[in-house]
Amino acid sequence: MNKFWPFFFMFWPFVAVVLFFIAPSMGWWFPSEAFSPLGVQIDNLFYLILVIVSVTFVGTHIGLGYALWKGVDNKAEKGWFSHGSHSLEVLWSIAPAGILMFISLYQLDVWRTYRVKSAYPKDLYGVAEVTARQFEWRIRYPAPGKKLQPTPQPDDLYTVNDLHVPVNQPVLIRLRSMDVQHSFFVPALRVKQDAVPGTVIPVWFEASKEGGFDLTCAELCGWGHYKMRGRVFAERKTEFEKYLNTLKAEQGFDGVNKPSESGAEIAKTE
Amino acid sequence: MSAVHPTVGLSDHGHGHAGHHEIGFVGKYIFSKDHKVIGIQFLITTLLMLMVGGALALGVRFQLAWPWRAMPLVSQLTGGLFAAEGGQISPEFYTMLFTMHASVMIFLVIIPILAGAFGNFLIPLMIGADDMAFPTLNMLSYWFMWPAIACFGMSFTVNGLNAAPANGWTAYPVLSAVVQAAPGAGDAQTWWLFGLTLVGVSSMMGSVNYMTTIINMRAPGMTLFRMPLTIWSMFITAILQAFALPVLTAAGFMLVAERTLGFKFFVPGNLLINDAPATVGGGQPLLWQHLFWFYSHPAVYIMLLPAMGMVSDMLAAQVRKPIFGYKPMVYSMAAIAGLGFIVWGHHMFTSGMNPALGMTFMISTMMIALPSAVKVFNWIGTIWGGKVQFNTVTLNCVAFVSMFIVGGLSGIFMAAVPVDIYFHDTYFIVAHFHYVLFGATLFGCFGAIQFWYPKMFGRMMSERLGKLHFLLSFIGFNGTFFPMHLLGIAGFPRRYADPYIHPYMEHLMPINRFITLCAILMGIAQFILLFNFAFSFFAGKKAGRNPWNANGLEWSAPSPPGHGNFDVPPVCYRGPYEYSSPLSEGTDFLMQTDPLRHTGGVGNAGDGHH
Amino acid sequence: MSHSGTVAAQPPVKMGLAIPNSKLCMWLFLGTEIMFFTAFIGTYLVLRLGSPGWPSDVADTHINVRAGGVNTFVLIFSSYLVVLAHESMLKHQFQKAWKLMCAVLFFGVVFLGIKSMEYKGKFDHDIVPGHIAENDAQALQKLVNEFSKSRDAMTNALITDDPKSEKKLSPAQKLVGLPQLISSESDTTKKDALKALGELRDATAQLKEGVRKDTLVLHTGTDHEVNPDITTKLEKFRTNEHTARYFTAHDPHPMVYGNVFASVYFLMTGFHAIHVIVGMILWIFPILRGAKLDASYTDWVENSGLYWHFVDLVWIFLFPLIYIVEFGSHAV
Ligand code: HEA
Ligand code: HEA
Ligand code: CUA
Ligand SMILES: [Cu+2]
Repeated sequence: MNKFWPFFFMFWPFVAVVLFFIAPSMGWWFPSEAFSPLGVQIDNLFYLILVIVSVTFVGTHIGLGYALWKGVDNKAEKGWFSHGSHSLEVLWSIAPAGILMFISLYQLDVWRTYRVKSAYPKDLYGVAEVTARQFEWRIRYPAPGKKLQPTPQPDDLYTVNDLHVPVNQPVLIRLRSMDVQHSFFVPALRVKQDAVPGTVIPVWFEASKEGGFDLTCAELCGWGHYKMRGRVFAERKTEFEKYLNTLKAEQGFDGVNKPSESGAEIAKTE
Repeated sequence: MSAVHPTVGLSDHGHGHAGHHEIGFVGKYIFSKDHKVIGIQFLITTLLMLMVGGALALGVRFQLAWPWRAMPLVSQLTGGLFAAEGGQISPEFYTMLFTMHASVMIFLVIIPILAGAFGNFLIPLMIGADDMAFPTLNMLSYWFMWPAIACFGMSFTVNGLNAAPANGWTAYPVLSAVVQAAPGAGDAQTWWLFGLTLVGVSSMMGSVNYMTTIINMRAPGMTLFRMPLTIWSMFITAILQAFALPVLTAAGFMLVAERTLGFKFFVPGNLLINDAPATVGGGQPLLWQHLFWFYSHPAVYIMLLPAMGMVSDMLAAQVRKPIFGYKPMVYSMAAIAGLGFIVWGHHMFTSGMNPALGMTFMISTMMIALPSAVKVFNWIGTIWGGKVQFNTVTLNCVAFVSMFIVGGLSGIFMAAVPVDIYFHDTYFIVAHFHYVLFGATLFGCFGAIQFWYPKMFGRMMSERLGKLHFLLSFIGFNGTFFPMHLLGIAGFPRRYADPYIHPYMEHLMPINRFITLCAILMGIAQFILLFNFAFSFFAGKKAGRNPWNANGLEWSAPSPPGHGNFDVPPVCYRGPYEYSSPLSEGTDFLMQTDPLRHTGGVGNAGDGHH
Repeated sequence: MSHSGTVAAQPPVKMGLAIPNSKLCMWLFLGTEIMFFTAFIGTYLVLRLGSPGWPSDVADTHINVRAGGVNTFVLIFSSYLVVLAHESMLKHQFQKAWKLMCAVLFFGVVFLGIKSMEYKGKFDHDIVPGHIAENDAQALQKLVNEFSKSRDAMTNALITDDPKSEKKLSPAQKLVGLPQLISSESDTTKKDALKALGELRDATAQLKEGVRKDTLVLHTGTDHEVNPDITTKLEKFRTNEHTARYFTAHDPHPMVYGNVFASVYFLMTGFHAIHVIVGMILWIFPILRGAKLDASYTDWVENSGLYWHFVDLVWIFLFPLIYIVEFGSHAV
């Protein structure tokens, strides 16, 4: 019974580690692998820190547990009379300092590529302007073949909540907000950026897999914060262009004249 | 230390009151100027507020486990209150729940329980003073809590009974600045800001008082490096309070002016918010975030350092060993406080601030883990080779160390900016801060209540109930908050009333149910604490002056100490951690007041290694 | 003390600094105050440097450098008097100290007087946070609103509700019968007043229409001359003996970032003024002692003096920041 508590304090880190090992197979892990090159780097960084931290966690707890274990049946008349050790202090200041410095410097590159304009990929393609508002994402594409302009153009195309981007192509969105702060979060791509009213924030990402990914809002923006759901579709270049053309036809359709070819389906469903 | 030299005869208070003038009941227990009574008043108030904050948390947990179900009990008990929603938690109300949960927990529980309750009770006793430097100011600092509580309460009632501020405890404008952005919040947000200001005034009065007391009212011989770590931590905390809090107060005034008088600081022009007219002006939303975190990051250390100090004192006494590395412990607390002022930007990595700033904040944040590491290793060093007795105090202290490691280490993930891009505003953050706030600080406080209870009331608390409370709390706590790390990794965002409408989170419902059940267990456990607290007051074993055989000055006073604290004016001859000293024969402790041997430098805890 | 050791080993009686608690506390408190104002000054710098434009033309902002300058000297001088007062207290010349403190209090009043004149100047030109138009469109809209408000006020004053009817009429409803009213009125002054009201109504309607159709421009030509049509209207109703009482429209005056400017101006000077008032309250206590002022107030005077110097010091920072400094490159 004496050893119950030391055991208790050592047992629970063990449970924690085991939980982390089984979690991926239970689905309690990343929603999917990272479908973007930068996302892969973020994941790798996460795993690196996870390893460092787990070693520290288990190490400190073994130390703690061992000290307790020995401490409960310390038969000596008195405890070890020690006020500390200078060399130990130095040791355990320098070792973590080294580790932390390493983590700090190691990650700088990812951060730079993500946020520092001069380090952005060269061939960025400006897809759209995304304007967040309570509680939806408004999207403005330039007309097919045109470049995204800072100010709205007469031939711009508009949708809500569905952002289409070409796959395997670093794309840039201009992120804005019409009312309060929101945050553009695509878990599968590991992108997150707050939309701040009054400023336009460029955000770039590259989807490396075709498919639709959930877009959520990650900054409290009012009662409907939870339901600000959008989707990001990464598609092949041709499909992406087809999508834009469809949009164009749909928006050019005046309800009387025969819609252009690609808009036909939409007209039918109306 | 050159500026600090002993001086004679400047104290505003003489030691050792001769005659005690009679004070009536009200003066003695209600509007008391005695730091001990004020401390106990703070303690009881904060424990009650813990229940309120916890009840709000259980509301949050209920919604996450059983979304949109009628609340059990609550809807019946409150009659028609939630009838409009069919007894459910509406999304607005969910937002209000976590906002008020956090506000109550942080501003009415954690900060006042540390500085207000333990700071008040322990500072004069541990430095050998008869009271605080300014007893009236001290009394006011307690009585300013009540208007604050009333304002927070008002914010629940001004717009009908289920309204409250709905902007998170961080209250980011534009959402919190434009009334129409969060219609339900209305005046409630303004009341909330008043409450915040009042809590601020209360802390402010406390902190200048504590600093003055610690600098100027130490007993003879109590040099700076003979002060217990509790006192050091309270001192450093008071400095943090004094220099960080005014910034929040200032920001609070600005936000109130913006909400009510049409001032423009945070809201940029041309925003179209609900039915409000387009905004004019050119304010900057990020300005609030900078001001808020300039306070609130140091504040998280305000919510931790005193617990660190108290745990150091308790651990040393429980394992019968000097604290390992006293001076490094002091310096690391100072370093945490100093660095704490320059890391606030880590809450804003994804806010769109200048990326170069992001890098600077990232590096300073990493560095703040260093002094924390030193402290952790020193605690383990303190236990190492000691004679461990597993009573409630020890258990809670060890839990403190263990939980702080977990919470601190999860901070490292977020300190790494690229990883924080993913983790920001997910449950990973929620897990992190509950580990440090509840896991570390509150467990520390549970230990401290058990440890100093005999000094407060002259009776011991029940060990049996204490251990039971610890066990249930610990299991409930880890069951609640550990799985939240996994939710965070799964990309589960914070502050979501119904995450399950997003397909990628649907499968996380069972884990949330498990969390809620554990939270209920943890909640039930707190009743044991309350019961133990109240029950032991009448039926606890009588305690002598020094039930733990500890060294501090407070243990040389009667339990409970009378007005003026010490019957014999204490004189301090050594540091507070001389446990198991070879100088002490027959016992394993050597009180700070014990003059019998070697009044010189021997045994000064500041001597570092041996 | 029952268990003291040898006399030589007896530790000193008191630890700490060689200053009284109250003074130490005041210093610490002033430290917190510094952070309080630092937050405001920081806010000011962030907003000003972070804004692409900032109103710096005195004609726009009605910043009165002279008033600010005089106030600076008022405060510095009063701080000097505070030093003298404390010295007198130490020398036990209590009546001299008393007079000096009265003088300090007097200069506090002077400071606040000048300050309120400045504030009045701002209010007269409606330089009030949230009221300032930032571009031409907003300025015109504001003008229309002010015209309508003046018209409504005048309508309500001249045309009383039918006492028999329970229902209160809106100004617009009251105006419906205006022509008949004018023609039926026998009292000539009232008749003229009603006529003037009619003109005001027409002018308001014209402006409104102009704004709605987007034909009204605020400035004509390139020299930023205000549209003469608007100026004549303003002039007319300001000078007309009947309308002047009700007419509250200001010269339309768009000011980019004017609201933020006004906000920080009132924030900083306002909180400073509150501190001056608190300082004055501190002086009132010893002054109220009158002839009974004695050495027990020496510490009080010293600590209040510290506070007063601090308030002075804050002003010395605020004055150049608000009244003088130009951050050149940002002028638009
Ligand atoms: C008591 C409160 C407390 C404490 C002590 C801390 C401590 C730390 N916190 Fe935490 N934090 C909060 C309370 C606290 N935090 C709260 C309330 C929030 C959320 C606010 C909100 O948004 O609502 C938050 C949010 C928060 C964020 C923002 C996340 C986001 O919103 O995106 C970050 C990012 O860097 C962070 C980092 C850290 C770090 C690095 C520490 C460090 O101080 C931890 C240092 C400790 C250790 C590291 C463990 C011990 C060390 C060792 C065992 C040695 C070896 C270690 C290594 C070699 C790695 N915290
Ligand atoms: C010291 C601080 C502290 C403490 C102790 C706690 C304690 C708890 N917290 Fe809290 N929490 C915060 C600080 C704290 N929290 C903060 C700062 C936030 C961020 C808010 C924001 O996003 O703005 C937060 C947010 C937060 C969330 C996230 C909400 C969201 O983002 O959507 C959740 C969700 O599970 C949660 C749960 C809990 C639980 C289950 C407890 C449990 O430990 C509580 C256990 C229960 C009790 C201790 C009381 C038992 C009482 C009863 C059984 C009822 C009896 C009632 C009466 C007598 C009146 N908290
Ligand atoms: Cu939009 Cu949250
Ligand atoms: Cu922080």
